[in-house]
Amino acid sequence: MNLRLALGAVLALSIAPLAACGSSNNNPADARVITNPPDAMVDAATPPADANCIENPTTSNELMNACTDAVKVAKSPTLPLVLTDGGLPPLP
Amino acid sequence: MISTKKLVLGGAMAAAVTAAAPRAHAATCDSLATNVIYVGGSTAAAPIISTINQAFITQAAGGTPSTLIVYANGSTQKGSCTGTLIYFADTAPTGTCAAGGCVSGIGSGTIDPAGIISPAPAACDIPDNTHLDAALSDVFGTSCAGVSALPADIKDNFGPIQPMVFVIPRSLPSFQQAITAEEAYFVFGFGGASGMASPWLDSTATLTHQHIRNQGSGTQQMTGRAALLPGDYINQGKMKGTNEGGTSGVISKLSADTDPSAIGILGAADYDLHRDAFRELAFKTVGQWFAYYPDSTPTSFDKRNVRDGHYWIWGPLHIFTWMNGNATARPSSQVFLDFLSGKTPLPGTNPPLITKVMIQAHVIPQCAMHVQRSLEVGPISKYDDPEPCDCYFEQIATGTTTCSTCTSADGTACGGGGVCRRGFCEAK
Repeated sequence: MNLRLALGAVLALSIAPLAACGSSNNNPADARVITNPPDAMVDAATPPADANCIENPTTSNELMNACTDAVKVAKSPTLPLVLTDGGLPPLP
Repeated sequence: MISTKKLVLGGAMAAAVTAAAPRAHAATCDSLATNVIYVGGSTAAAPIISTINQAFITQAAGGTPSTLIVYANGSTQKGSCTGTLIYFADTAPTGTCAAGGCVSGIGSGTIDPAGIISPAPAACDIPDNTHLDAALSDVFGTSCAGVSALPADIKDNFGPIQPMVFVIPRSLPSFQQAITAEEAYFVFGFGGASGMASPWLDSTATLTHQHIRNQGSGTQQMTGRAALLPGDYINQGKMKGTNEGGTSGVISKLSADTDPSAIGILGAADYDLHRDAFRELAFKTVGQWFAYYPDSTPTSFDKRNVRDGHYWIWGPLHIFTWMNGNATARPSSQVFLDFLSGKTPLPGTNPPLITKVMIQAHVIPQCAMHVQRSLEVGPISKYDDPEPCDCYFEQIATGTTTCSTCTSADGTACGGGGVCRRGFCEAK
C-alpha cells in the first residue's frame, strides 16, 4: 500500500513501496517512506540492495528492521565530527 | 509524631482529603483509609494510581475507603532512582527503618504536582518512619547510580511499557522528521553547536534550547542511552542541555522555544497529551535501516512500532518489592501488585479493567507487546503473551480495531478462530 505524504517544501514526496519485501504474517510488504533532506552518509546501517526489510525476524537487529506497513523515515545525516573510519569520537 | 512531609495523592483523592480536612491542615495519610499503601519513585504511574483510588473512594460512598494508594512526593523522595534507592536502603522492610530507608523525618514539605496528577492533588502528612510498600521506576535498578546489582531479596516486577521520545516544538518550521542515534550522541553528548548535528546547533552557553531533565529521570536515562551515552556519563549529570526540573518544565519551556535548534525529551504519554504543542521525532538506532515513530503513523496512537520492536526507546515500569521467599515482605506490596496486574479487580460496580486504565494512561500493557528486553534500551527479543490483548489495546487506544467482537467468557474459543478476551477475538 502506498500513501502519499505531504511533508513540506523541502521534503520529497515518496509514493514508492519497498519492493523487495514479501508478505508475511502481520507484516505487510509495503511501507510509507518519508525522506529527509539527503545528506552524506554516516550510518552504515543501510539495507542490503536486495531487501528493505526482514521477513520472519528473530534477532534484535532483525526485529527492528522487520517488514511493516508503518511510516518509516529514511535518514542518513552528515555529521562532521564522525571519525574517518565511521566511528564516533569520544565524548568531550 | 507526624512530620510535615507531604504526600501527593491521586487526583481523585482530593475529594476525600478535602472532606476529611477542610481546614488548612492536611490529614494524616494513615487516617484516610483502612489500608494505606505507600509507594515512591517514578510519577509515571500517577494516572493509574489515581484511577485506583477513585474506585475505592467511590465504593466508600463518603465513608472511609478500604484502601488507598499514597505516593511519596517529597522533593528529596520523588523520581525513579531517588525512590528506588530509598527503597533499596530499606533492608528491614517490616522492622526498624534502616538509615535512609524510609520516607520519614522533617521533609521539605514541597509539593510539586505540576504535570503529575490532574486535577490538583491533595496532600496528607506522612507519619515518620514509614516503609514504602513498593518503589516505582521507569528504569532498571542497575541504571541508577551506585547500583551494580539488585539487592538479593528485591524483585523487579514489570509493569506497563513506557516509550520515550525526542520532541521539537510544533510551531517550528522544521523539516526534521527524525533523529538518529548518532545525531543524538552529538547533540546531547557534545552539546548544541559543538556537536555540529544540524539543525540542533544551540549556540547558547548553557544550552537553553536543549530541554532535558536530570539524571534521576527515567526519560533522561532512556533517551540518553538511546543517544549512545554511557550510563556513568548520564548518572554524572553530563547529558548536555538545560535541566527543566520535570516533565512540566520541559513542556512549558520547549513549547515556548522558537529557536530552530530547540529539542527536548518527553515520555510518550506526556507527548500524547500535548501533540498540539510538539512534534515527535522518529528514531533510528544503530543497525536500523529506517527511523520509526512510536506509533505506526505520526498521527496515530497505536504504539505499534513499540509493540513490534521498530521503535527503540522504551522500557517497562519497574515495580520493586522486597521479598521474603516467594511472598512479598510487606502484605501491602502484594495488594498493590495484584491491582496492577489485574489479578484483583478494582472495586465497585462495573469498575474499569486495569488494562483499560493503563491504555488510557498512554502506556502499553505487557499483553499488547510482542517484544521484550532485559537491559536498559538494550537488545530486544520476541515476546509472546499468554493472554494477548492486541485487539483490546487498539480499540481503547485508537477507537477502532479490525478484530471481531465476542460476548463469551474470557478464554473461550471464538467461532471464527482465536480466543475471546475482553470482548474481542484475540489471536489466542
